[in-house]
Amino acid sequence: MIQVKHLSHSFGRYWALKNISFSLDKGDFLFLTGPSGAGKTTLMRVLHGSLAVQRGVASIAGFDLKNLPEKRLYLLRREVAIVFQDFKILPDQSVWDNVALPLQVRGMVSSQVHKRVRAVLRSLRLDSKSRYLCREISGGEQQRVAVARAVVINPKVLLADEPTGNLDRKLSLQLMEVFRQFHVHGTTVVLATHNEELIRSLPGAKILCLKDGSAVECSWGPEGEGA
Amino acid sequence: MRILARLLYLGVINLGRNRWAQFFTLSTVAFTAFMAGIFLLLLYNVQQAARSTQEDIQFQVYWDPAYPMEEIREQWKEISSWDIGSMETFTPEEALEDLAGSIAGDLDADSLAGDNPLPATALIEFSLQGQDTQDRALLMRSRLMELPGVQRVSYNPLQVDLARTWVRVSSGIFWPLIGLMLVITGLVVANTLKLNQMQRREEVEILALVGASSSYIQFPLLVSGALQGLVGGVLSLGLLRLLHLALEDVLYFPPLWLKIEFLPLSYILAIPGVLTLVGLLSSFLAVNNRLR
Repeated sequence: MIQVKHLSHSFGRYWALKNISFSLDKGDFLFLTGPSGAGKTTLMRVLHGSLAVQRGVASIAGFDLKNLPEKRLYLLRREVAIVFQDFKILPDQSVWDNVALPLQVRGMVSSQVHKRVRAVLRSLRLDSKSRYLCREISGGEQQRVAVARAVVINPKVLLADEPTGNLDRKLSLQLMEVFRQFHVHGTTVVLATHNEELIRSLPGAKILCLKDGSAVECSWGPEGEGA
Repeated sequence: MRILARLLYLGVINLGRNRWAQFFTLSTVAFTAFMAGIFLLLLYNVQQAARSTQEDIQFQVYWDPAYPMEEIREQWKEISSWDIGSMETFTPEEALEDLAGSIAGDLDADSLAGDNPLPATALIEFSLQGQDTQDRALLMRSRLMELPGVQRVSYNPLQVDLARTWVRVSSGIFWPLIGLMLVITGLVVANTLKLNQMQRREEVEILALVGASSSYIQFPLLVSGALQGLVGGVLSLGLLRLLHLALEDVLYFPPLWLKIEFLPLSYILAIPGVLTLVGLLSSFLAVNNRLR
């Protein structure tokens, strides 16, 4: 489902990713971890097509990222969803409208949109907030809206960049359960996090530790296996 | 079709968002176009004045009083078949009557009827638009002089020079000024609309992230931009018409007798048309690099 070989990416003279390689099959769960500035977000953005593949090879959900024309990028994003650390939701639109957005851009009929949005909002305990504007709800709720918007399309691959960064322990574990459910149902999940407790909560997951843009051995001795 | 209808709807709905920003954008577009419209109106009227001056070149033709009137009438028929604007003819009797009328009371036309000193005359208006006006005027003069019985042909060469000057003004200044005005208006309007659309960059970015195609993202923005240009153009035309109604007769007094004309239909259609295109283009440029 994801193949990355010798991937490097620089911003000017600064190499944010250096020679990264890993592969994931359908339904795999990968924790991407490492300190701030390690290159986690850069890797996520490359996998989502927001940054170009400069060196090496990367493919995801059947899309060769190196040779994917910009005009066809939207097709990748209909299969690969992403949750950003800073949410990237529309603050002046309602929770419902934000979650329905990925379905509407696909031209889905409104009855189906209604059904799927309602189910996802219920699973993330946001159904009581559906008519609120996103700027009116808490940071934790906004984070869950971002997750709901990503999972509502049933993506083949789910990328999540520090999705629990704004949540307390209880909500973090609840959100982790949502990701685990998708993983169980065959979605490949890549989750970037600092949170060791989250990583330990899913023993079968793969782990990729980054430091200064390079893949390194995880120093804190997780119980998962390397990617 | 459903998506297209939705995108059109979104484009119109976008205008209702952030109403103050939309109001200021629309005001800027309308007033900039209004200022440009005033300039255009001024230039158009200058050009119209130039054209009417060109059309007013007059030749006065005097026949020998001894030349038979029947022959002169035949010549008048011939002249009227030439490529001229208009011709007014006077037999000696008509000329005397006209003279008597113009100096009412001071001349007894009946006392001169038996010994009328006035010759047969013709007043010919000749259009001199285009090139080589002086040569063409001379050619017309010699053609008239060659007619049997014609004693004298007079015209004012200064008038030809003036017409030629207007032609130069029209071709050398009018169009370059129109072009410059279009560029300046286009830049101001495009930049205003672009800034207005740029406030929606975050939304554009998010739409791209959730899998919206470029056309899905851009179409409503293009519709909004085009509508803003169109509405701004129509508003500016309304303001221009009000101004015209107020100033239409402001120069209509002696010796000017100039009535300010409103813009012709082609210009009226061009103003909102150009602004619509500028709106489309600036909206396209505003978000094009945010689609990745």
